[in-house]
Parts: sequence; structure tokens; C-alpha cells
Amino acid sequence: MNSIAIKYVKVKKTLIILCLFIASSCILFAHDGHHTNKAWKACDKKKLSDSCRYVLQDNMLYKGTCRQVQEDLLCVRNQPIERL
Amino acid sequence: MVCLMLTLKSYSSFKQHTCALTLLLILSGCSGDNSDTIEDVNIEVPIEVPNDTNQPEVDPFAFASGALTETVITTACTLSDGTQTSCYQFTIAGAPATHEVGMFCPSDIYATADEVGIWFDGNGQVYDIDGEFIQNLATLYNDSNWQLYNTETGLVNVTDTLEKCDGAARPNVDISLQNHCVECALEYLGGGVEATYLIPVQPVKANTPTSIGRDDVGLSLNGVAIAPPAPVDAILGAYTIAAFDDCAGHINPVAGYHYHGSAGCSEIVTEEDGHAALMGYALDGYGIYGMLDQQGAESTDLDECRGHEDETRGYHYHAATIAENMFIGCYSGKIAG
Repeated sequence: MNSIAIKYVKVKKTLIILCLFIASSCILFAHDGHHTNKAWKACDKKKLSDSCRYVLQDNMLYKGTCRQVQEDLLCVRNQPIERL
Repeated sequence: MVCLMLTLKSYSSFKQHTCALTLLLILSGCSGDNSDTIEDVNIEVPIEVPNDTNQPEVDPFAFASGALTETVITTACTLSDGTQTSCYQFTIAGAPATHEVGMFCPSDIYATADEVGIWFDGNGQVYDIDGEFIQNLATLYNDSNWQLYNTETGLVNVTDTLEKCDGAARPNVDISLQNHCVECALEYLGGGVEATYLIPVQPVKANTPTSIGRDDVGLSLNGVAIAPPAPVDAILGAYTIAAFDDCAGHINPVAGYHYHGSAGCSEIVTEEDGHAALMGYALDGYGIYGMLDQQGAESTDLDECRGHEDETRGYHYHAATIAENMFIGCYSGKIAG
């Protein structure tokens, strides 16, 4: 393999690594922090259109359906908030 | 008193084998009071047999005066499933026609609720961003890195220039702008940021709902973009508070002023039967109404998009609470483009 070809392979590798890094950064950013919010956490292990529920402020029950909003599933409330 | 005068003119050569009506809407003072505003809006409405005759069409006359900056036109458009139909093209002013923008951040830790805006993070509460809130952030978010004010002077770190607002209202906030209350001014942007939307004249129900992405969800009747949920976790992750005003809107340099919650500020079309007021339209053309009816009750039959149907309004949505950081959960109808 001549030196130009070696250089080409190195540049290609670098570009691939850079692309992967950028892609993973974006994904991390997009998902970053959703874990703090119960409306998102309620659908963590569910699939689209599954029913979901979560409690806020110790006694307020939110019931709804998991819907994709931006990249993640969010529990979209469709019942009036219930006081427990 | 304001009256509407409609003149209809048909065109025989309109595309898509239809006729068109040109509606000349003249909003004028009928009582002889010359102080009333006079506006001319040309609207071309194609006549087509609607897919769902029980479903009301989008009402371009529901918008507040000043909400739209360009003549509403109809244009051929393609819906998400390839259906060819007609859409209204709305261009909103990007600044609310019915209320002032702001206030947002407190200047110091002694600020009271009536001097500041609000904050919501989707966890069920709406906070006034007063001095007490600013001082309590480390406790609220269980993170001692929160320090939004100068402990000696009590002054709150506020993004009070275009450069600061621009730097803090984007991902990867520079460390020098962390621990800031973020606010921008429309003056930085030369006023409202106009945005144009294509909305099906006659909403068409989709077989399966469409998910909400990063684009606007719809437009309000007072000329403001209805945005998807604010990325509160990224905002908090940068130790910033992107303050909302009491109408649940805020400004960023790209989108301008936009709503992230329904605070009632654009609910301007009241319903005679006690139903909640209309506040705007989703991109699929279905109306978005306030959450509660005039007796303070919320519907119990909403679907996964937060919509349902009745005889008067056909299919429509009801916005969620401000604290939930959302309006609707998905699109039940087909959207253009």
C-alpha cells in the first residue's frame, strides 16, 4: 500500500471515529436528564401506546398513555389528575 | 360593534378541478365609530367535498387582530400519507397580539412573585421565579452546584444581553453562563419572529397517530408558536432556568417568543355551550382548547393525543396543564409536508 493510500485510510478512520463521537454526543444530549422527570420515567420500560401512570407530590396520580415526543416516550396524561 | 362582510367570487379555472371562493373579509366598525380597526384579508378557499362532513374546517377568522402578518391563502398541499388537499398558509407575528411579553427573571433575591415569571419542569408544579425560589434551587434539585445569585449583593445572574441570551439558550452552555436565569428580549430580535405554517383546511383523521417531534405543534390564535415540551432537563443540566412569563412563553434567539404551556392567554374564542375556549390549532388542523370547561371540569374521555369528539366541534384537543410542559400528546390527524 502506498503512502497516499495509507493516509486516505487514516483520514477515513478519523472521520468515522469523529462521526461516531458526534452522533453519540447528540444521542446522549437528547436523552440526558429525562431520567429526572417522572412523566418520562413512567414510560422507560414501556412501548408506544402502553398505558402509564406516575405520582407527583406524593399524592397526585397521573394516568395516561406512552407517546413518543421528540426521541423518547412520554406518559401523556389523558385522565383528570387524581388526588390519592 | 364589529361586523363581517363577505363577498364571494368564483373562479372556473382553479386547479384541482374545483372552484375557489375569494373571501374578502372586512372587519369594520358598523356602529359608525371610526376608532375601530379596519383590516382586509383575502382568503382563497377551495371548494372540495370534505372527507368528514361532521368535522368543522379550520376557521381563519378566529385569529386575533394582529396575530397574522400576511394574507391567509389556500394552497395545494400534500398530507403525511400522500393525500393531495388544500391547506391554509398562516404566517404568525411571533409576538402575542393579546398580551404583553414578560416578565421573566428576578433582578435580585428580594423579588416577589408579581415581579417575575414562572418556571415548570414537568414535575407537577409551577413555580414563581421569585427570590425565595432562586435561593432554594440547590435544595429543590438536590444539587449544591446551583448558585444563581451573588451571595454578597443578592443580585441574580441574568442573561441581560443578546450575547448572553444567545449563549445560554442553546445546548452546550458555556460554563460562564451556567448558573444564570435565562431571559431574552424581543428587542434583540427586532420584534416577533414570524413563522409560516401549512394547516389542512379540512382536518383528516389518520389511521394511527403521528408522534410529536422537535417542530412546533401548532399556532395560537394570538399569533404565537405552540412549541413541543421545553427541554427542561437539558436546561437544568446546564444549571440554568429558562424563565417563562406568566403566559408560559419565553424567547430564544431562533424561535422568538413561543408557548410551552397553556396558561389561558390565547383562549380567545369562547364557546356558548360551556365548553373550554379555543386557543389555537394543531398542525393537523384540529382545534386546541383549554383544559377545563367553564365549570372547571376536565374531560374524562380523552384519547392518547389528548383529543376527543363532540357534535359541535368534531374532533379536537384539550391542552394539558402548564405544569406538564405540553399541550397535546400526538397528532390524530394527518399533517402537511
